[in-house]
Amino acid sequence: MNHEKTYLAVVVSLLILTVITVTTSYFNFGIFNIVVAMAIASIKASLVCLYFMHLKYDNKFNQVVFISAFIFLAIFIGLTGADVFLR
Amino acid sequence: MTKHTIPSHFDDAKQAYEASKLGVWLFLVTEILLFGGLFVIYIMNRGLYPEMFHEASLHLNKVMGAMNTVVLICSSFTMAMAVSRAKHNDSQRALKLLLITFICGLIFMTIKYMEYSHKIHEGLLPGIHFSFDEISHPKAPLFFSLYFMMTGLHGLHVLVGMGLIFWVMVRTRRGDFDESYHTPVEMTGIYWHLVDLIWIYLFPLLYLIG
Repeated sequence: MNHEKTYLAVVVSLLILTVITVTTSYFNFGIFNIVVAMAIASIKASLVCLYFMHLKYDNKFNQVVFISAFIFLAIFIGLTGADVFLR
Repeated sequence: MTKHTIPSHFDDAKQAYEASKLGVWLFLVTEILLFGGLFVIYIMNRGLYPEMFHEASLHLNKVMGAMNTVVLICSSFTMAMAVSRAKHNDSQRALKLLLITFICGLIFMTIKYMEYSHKIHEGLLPGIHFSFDEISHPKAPLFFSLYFMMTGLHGLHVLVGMGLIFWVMVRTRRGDFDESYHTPVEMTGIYWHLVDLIWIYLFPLLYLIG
């Protein structure tokens, strides 16, 4: 039952963050638009991972496995970006 | 009621469960890298043609995108609740929650279908099929290639997820799951949340940059 209350809190937070991200998209903050949008998306993604996917209560090995995906993704983006933008 | 038997190559139920879960997490890593390839193409091209992305994005329907975001978030919630109910021997409510999750998937795909048919009608299409006059930038078809590829691959995942939810519903109804065995419900849940997670990024990147 305790978990289910957490789920409710998480879904409400996700919906509020969605409203915030849609609202901020109507204002022009220049370069900060993308920063704000990605920051909010990442908070939402973390909430989904930690609570809905139970990663917070999962064993360490599964946490490392999943986080490794983002490390590889960062390498993928970083090296491709270096080639496209810094050459 | 069919009682689940633990495959003989596992020591006990816990080990079998942990092995299944590790398998799903590894699969999700490959999924992130699969979508990652598309995100990389997106980031590089947005860096090269920022004003084109800005202009082309204005022709996506923000309201429909936001509606789909809400639908997916709610479906993630009902899915998490269904897993919890299945764990607590409450198959009846688990089944109802799974059905709501499935219907949310259906609503998502219906909205997607409406968006796609509108884009096809207007000629906002990838590559050489692009035939829309109001965007002058010569690279604009690229945005719609990315739009259809990213949302299309994501939509395919929604359909697969709906198939899995349907299968889990049939098994829940048959009484396959209880507090000692509910691995398929939980694994389907983790997969469904990943589908939500990817949409959380697709929505601002495609719809909200205008």
